[in-house]
Amino acid sequence: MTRQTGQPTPDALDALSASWDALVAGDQPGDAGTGEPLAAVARRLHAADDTPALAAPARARIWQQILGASAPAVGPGGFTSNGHADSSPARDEALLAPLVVNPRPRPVSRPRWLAAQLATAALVVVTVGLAYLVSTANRERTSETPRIPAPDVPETVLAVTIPADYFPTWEVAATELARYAFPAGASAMTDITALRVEVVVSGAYSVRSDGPSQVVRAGKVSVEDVPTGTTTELGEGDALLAPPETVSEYTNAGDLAQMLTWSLFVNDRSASLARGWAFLDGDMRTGLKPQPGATALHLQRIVLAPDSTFPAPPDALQLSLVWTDSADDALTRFDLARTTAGALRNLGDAPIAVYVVTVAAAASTSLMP
Amino acid sequence: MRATLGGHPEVVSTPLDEAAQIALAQRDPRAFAPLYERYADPIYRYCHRRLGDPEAAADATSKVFIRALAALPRYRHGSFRSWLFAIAHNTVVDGWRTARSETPLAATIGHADPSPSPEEEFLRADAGREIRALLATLPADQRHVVELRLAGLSNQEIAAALGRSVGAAKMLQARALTRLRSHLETASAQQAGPTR
Repeated sequence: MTRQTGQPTPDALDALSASWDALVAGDQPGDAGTGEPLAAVARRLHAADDTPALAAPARARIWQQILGASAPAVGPGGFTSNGHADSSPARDEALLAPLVVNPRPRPVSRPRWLAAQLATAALVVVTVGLAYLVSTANRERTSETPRIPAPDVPETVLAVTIPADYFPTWEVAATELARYAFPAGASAMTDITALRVEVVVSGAYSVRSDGPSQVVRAGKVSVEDVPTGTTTELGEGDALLAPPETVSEYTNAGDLAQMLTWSLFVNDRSASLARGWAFLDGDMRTGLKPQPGATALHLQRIVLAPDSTFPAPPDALQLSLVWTDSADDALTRFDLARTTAGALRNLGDAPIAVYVVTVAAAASTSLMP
Repeated sequence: MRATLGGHPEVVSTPLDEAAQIALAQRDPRAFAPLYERYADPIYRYCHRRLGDPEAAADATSKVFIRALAALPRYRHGSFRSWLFAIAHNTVVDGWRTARSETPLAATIGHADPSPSPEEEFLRADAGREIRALLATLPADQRHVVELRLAGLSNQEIAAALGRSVGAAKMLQARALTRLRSHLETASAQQAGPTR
């Protein structure tokens, strides 16, 4: 039941699909006219599948983890931000790669920190300039060489240096780039201890913290210090930096807001960053050992064409997530994969918008005056 | 029906259809238990086929259900199984690493976990190897379809989970089987050895 081209006919595809549907449903598949050899391969696959079942202890342990993760909703007062307390350091040495590679943690003075900000800004300008040149060169070569899928020019959303004293001294930590929604008219409050960088993607809201924090306005590289107890309005593109012990209260008097957050927290994240926000999607790494030091955070937005890749920088941590227009689709996108070399790759057949955060030791120390 | 999850207070549920269980779980995470009971094994086996390691598969399974429970309030309609496997697919593909997450101390209390014998270790490591070797011969998109078939999904559910059209899913599975058939025939011929 194939065409002359070797392609199966629609009828053959339908029959094979129906046969396999019956097989997985536990019914006796009717194979008449279904391309029996292929149906037989399907049966053989199922017969050969001796993948083990989930053992009872693991099943119970996972259920505990699920309940632990949902603890705030299960009962008031029973939840701690460290519900999955780290009882032992991660054993896998590969996972103990330092979050930042600065080997000599030390306090950063204000002038040095300002210099770091300026250096970061300079790096961004150089990066964008180089990207433009590469883009131009690619366009000029288009008429001469076959087109190779390449990513569009990354757009810098935020480039900031996180002060060294913002970093905790935890033995083992986890980090996540996450997408949250903040419903219209809602209020929220920080719910876990985490070093946070929050970027408003859409909407606006106000925030007040019980400790000092910093704000970077949209398109800016300069940092505003926000004194304790000051209410600050955040709009699209604005970013908030807050050290781990800072508790923030949020009020959204406008429409639905959406945020991207980068956070560093103890072990596994077992709750939303803020009670009142809705978690939509996230990319998390666990088993990291934070090493205090001024750290450069670079958040980029990129549109990846099908089959194109976005490289992973050396000596840096990179997290990413696909941005879907509809928040409802946030958890069902599967097109983004990571190659063995660490690069991001679009496996799908349509372009995807991807947010990528890169975290690395601030490279500016040698540029300090 | 009383469903007991080892080491925990009993979780009581009444015989409800899946939609009603989901609606309950959207309001109370404890009501998620019957859904976890139903899908824990298929999700774990799916992750095991993808990752090839029991511990990594267990970690990924945990992540899948935690993500699912977090996203459950936004679940509206369609096949719950498709939705759950879409999260599983996304979780594995997007790189929840094979990290062995630290086991909460409390989780180890009350669970006898005798060390397996060498024979059991061997069998555990070997289980699923053949199927993974077969799947490894397929391109990624075809493999994804077959993996979801092995997890018990219908063609329509697979299309929904992978964000493909039903027709595309049919075509991918046909191509996958054609390729596997060729591979199996080649392997059989090689096992038979050269003929004079």
